[in-house]
Amino acid sequence: MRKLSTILPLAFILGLIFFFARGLDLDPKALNSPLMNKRAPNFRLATVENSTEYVGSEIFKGKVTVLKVWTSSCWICQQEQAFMIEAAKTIADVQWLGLNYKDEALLAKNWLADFGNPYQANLHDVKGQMGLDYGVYGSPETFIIDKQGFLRYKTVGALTVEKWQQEIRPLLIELMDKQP
Amino acid sequence: MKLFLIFSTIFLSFLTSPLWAEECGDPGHVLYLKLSKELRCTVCQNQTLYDSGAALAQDVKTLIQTKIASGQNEDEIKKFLVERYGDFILYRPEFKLATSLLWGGPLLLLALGIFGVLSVVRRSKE
Repeated sequence: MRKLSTILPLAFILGLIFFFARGLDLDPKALNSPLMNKRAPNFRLATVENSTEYVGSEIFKGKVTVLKVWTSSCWICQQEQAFMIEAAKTIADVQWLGLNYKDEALLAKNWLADFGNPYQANLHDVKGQMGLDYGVYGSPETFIIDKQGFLRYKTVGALTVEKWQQEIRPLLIELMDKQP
Repeated sequence: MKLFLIFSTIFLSFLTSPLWAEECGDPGHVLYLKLSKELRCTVCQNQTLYDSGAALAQDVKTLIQTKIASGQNEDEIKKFLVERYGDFILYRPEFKLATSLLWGGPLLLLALGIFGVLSVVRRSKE
């Protein structure tokens, strides 16, 4: 009996320590997107470049896509843009799309002119409708979509060198190798 | 006697259930308030949509209103948001395997506490 009464509290406290340690390790900002490994939601939006040209989710077909959520008022987007441009150069045949989230076309155009534009097109999501369907809650966010149009990766916040080298680039290469 | 009456009045007044204002009227609005108080603002994570002034929270609230207006019920709206933002958006997460410890934890602790007290009491009797 005496043995049990010493072991039990100890086990209890160890259990608590385990949960607390795990809790500290979790990043509350990194919400696990329930959309992962599901088909990317449909959308139809004009682009920042051309307000009469509409683009839809068929754009994902047959290509590995990096979809980058950005806004002209987003400081981190501005900080990481130079790296984005460099990173885009190091990997061929990947489609880079911008999702200009709740922004004005003119501000967005000026921003791209100032900080560079690695994107084939910038979807202009004025009302944040596409953002809502994709579970976006701030800029920047980065999605990777495979050749079949399935969401394979999402990260919130700045695209760091570490994330790029350890997660994003290897995943892009892996997805590129798969036949559509 | 007078003193007794005064004190008993004061004392009894503590026993009356407090008054509160109840939302009434338009059932759609009541549902809107209920949902916005139960859903989390994903930008400012420790606030409900109702409390939050963030732009995204405003968008989601507008969305909830349009959905209510188009006749969707509470579960449909919650499902729509959970599909996009995950369980985290619910302040009252559903009961399932992943959340069983969250819901069952307090009961487990209570059981442990009772067990502890009983064993102490039993030992002190011996």
